[in-house]
Amino acid sequence: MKAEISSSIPRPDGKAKASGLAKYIGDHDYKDALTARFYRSDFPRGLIRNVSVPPLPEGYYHINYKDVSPEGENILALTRKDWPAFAEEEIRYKGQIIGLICGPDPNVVDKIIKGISIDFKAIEPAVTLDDSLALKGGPLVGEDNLLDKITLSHGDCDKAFSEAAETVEGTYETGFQEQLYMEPQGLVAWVENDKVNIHGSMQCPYYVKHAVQEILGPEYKVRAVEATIGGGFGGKEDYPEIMGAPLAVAALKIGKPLRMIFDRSEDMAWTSKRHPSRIKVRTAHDKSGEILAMDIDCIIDGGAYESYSLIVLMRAVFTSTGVYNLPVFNVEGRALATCTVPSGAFRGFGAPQAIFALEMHMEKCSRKFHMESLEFKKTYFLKKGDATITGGKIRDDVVLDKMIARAEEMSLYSHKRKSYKDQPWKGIGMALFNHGCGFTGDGEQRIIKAKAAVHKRADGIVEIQSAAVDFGQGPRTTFRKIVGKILGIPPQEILYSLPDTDVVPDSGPTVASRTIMIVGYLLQEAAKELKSNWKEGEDQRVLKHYEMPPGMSWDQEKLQGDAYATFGWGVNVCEVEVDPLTWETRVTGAWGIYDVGVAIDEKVVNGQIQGGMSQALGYGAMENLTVDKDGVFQQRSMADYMVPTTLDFPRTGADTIDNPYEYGPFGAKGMGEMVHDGGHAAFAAAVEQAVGRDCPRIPLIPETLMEIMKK
Amino acid sequence: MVETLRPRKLDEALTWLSERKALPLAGGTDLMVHFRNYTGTDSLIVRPVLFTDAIDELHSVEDLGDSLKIGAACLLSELENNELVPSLLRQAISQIAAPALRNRATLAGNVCNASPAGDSLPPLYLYDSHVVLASSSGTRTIPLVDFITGPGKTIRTDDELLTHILVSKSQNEKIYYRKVGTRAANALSKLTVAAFAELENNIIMDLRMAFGAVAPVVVRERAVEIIFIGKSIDQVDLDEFRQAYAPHIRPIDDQRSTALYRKEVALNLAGDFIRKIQENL
Repeated sequence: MKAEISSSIPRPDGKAKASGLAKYIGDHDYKDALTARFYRSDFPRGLIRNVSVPPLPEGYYHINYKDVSPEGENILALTRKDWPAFAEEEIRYKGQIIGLICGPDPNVVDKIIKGISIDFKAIEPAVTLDDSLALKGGPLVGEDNLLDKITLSHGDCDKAFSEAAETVEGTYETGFQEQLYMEPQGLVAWVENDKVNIHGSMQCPYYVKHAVQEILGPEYKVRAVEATIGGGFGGKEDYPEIMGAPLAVAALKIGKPLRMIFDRSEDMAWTSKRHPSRIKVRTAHDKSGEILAMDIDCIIDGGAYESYSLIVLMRAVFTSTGVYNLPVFNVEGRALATCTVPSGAFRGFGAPQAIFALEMHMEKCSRKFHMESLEFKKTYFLKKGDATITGGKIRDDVVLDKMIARAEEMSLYSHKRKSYKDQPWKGIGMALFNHGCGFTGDGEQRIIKAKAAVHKRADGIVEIQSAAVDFGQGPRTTFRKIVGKILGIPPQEILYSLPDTDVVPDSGPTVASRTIMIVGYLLQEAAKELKSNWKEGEDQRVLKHYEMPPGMSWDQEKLQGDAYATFGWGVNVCEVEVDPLTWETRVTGAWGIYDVGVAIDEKVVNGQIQGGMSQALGYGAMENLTVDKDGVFQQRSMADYMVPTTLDFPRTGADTIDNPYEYGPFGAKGMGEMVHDGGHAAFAAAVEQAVGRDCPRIPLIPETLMEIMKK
Repeated sequence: MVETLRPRKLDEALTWLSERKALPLAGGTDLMVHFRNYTGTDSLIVRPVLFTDAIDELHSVEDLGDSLKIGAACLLSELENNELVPSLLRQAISQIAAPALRNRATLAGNVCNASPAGDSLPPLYLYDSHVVLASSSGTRTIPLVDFITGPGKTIRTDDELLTHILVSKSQNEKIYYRKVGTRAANALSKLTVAAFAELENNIIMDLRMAFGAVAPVVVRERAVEIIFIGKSIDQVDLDEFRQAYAPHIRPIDDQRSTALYRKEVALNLAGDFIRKIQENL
């Protein structure tokens, strides 16, 4: 039985988005706005000696680091202050923002930018992870190119390996991935009554406000307002800050509204991508194959500056033993600096990389000991009460067995797995995973401190006040359902404006599978309080602050405790056929069964499952994104970067198993990211069965598969 | 602003080409990409653009008995559904991009774009196609193989319009077409292979094979084809067949694939063509 709230309603924002009525930032007519565009370094690494800008016609402006006011700081306020908003002397990647040109005619701006020349002293770039490890061109960061390093261990790993009857070792690699949201990055900035306003496409209005505040200095008031956002996938978590901070400096200096909307090719070439990874896994086994210990060396490619690498690395490391309870382990995680566009946020945020390495290694181990991989994995499943990798606790029921049973029923996994042993070029694979909901560690408590409110006007109209944005994942539907259900009001009648930091409380960024579980819960609790205290004809507002669920603890120094309050869980199955003439793979079936707590809206959840599976299969099979010798992405157009079409993969057979979570609204947990956590691993496992070889590298494009088969 | 010309008569079009140095646009699905500039800025096209779509006489597919005369304004989607057009060519066309693009793009445009990865080209090479070029001073008919001289390069002069493509009609029993693209639809080709054979009592009376995207222009080697013509199909050695083509397949590495992959797979598919005929004997 599914919960009553799960029955779908029409999305309140659906009609406007489908019909073209919704106004994205490019649709807003800022009549007097000047066109603003960045100019960037045209070399990968070195020191700027001089920038020569052609003479500017009247009404055109050139802005660079010298225009940052002395009260402000020429730095992007992300997690660490290492990345200048405008490059001053040092250049660490080709495409780094040096300045911006603005003026009334986009053609003139384009011509000025094409006329800029930069004199510089070149330094040899470190483009790949191997270049970075070899400190090519000298260290880019510190003495060893390490942006971040963290370790976790439990038990005596060395002893386990020295006593092992067998060891299994593998190195697993994943590539860059482009978010390819439908709407490119775009912002408008202007100054009004001494306040700097930023309006545009953003996942995190308060992050934008913060970043702009930091670069301008404390005496300026700043406001960020979301325009309807045309997709994000994490790509509009960091970039609106990277774009907004320099744009705000320019708007303030010039005193006119500025409009900056990226061309698709600029967006694809220079905005942040998913961190590539290279993860080495070693396991120690006894004679029967049982795992005694696991040793993981996890490297992610952070690009030229820190951005969010530490947090991505933490999620990768904290996810590295997945759904398994291993007694002895050692994990070392490193984020390396390279001369490429700084890697950033992307749906899954380190977890898809870690799960790929882990699940492919479990497949490899099971082959080594001649066991069926699902049987091999089952021995180690986490259950309620078990310790997590960080020494926290699994606090809720784990329903993996039920989910696997449902997956078997829908996909006939075990039956097919057996029968494909005798059928060449066919295979089926399964991947299991969990995804910590909300910010890692005590981020929610210590850093975000979310607040959300339900406001009842005197006329009885109810309004949701939250900074969460809807970029397809559905809060404009689900938040209304939560509040409406509690108050007994039809969801469609509840107001929920596009977030404006002058109006709504800071409910935190729209990231990390936290929106429903953290913000939705605050809204549920606010609605409950409002209901119990409802006074007809009065204006009432209930504001709720986040509190850590009882019993949770976290030690940020030792990285010990409950890294996540709870987890979403998933089982993915993928079936493939391989063409031995062309090494093309064809996905003939895909299934996803998830524990999302309770679905607030079945169609919203199904939409996430379908899209997440396609994106994960694209990541595993097609989305090849490589860099040239200067660290520049080679696939910079939609003709060259291959995201799947509806013809590439079949519809995902999808289902959820209800497992209500006490501190989620109506029992709901986060799920927007975990639908991207396992599809690629299930796909690669299926290809391994089809070809009978190890496939430790994604994307597993035909060229890569041919290389594997010819070895 | 770009000046646009949309003649209804061919004469008018040819006059504008010579007098105005107009740029012919036959669908524009490649041309628009070629002249792409930063969003929001003016077009990079400085010449007047001449649309060919309103010229009635370029819209027909004429049956000349032993060949077809395809007008330069015929859309890919029209040819895809025209039973006069050889099925091999129709197969190739049906895998170009997606329906929306095929409703704008033309065969003439695909030919004049002269991309090594132009999907209609390998079948057209198989059928010894010719192109008709017209200008105010007359017309000339040229073999397609001489018309395309390199990637994006043809011998068409600025005052000439490609008006027709002549394709020999053929009743081939054994046809083979395989596009290896970057995805299932809306994909550019990593490579393509098109082939046909005519058999009489298992003897190869004719055999033709063309490869796209594995060299600067489409690869078709009559000298190789002749080696196998006259032989019995069941005596063709697959390795020998592959080896005969190997020196002619000279692909490059690019953002879509690798030279190694293109070469290996092109030869695999060449062998597959022969093997499939042998298996169906």
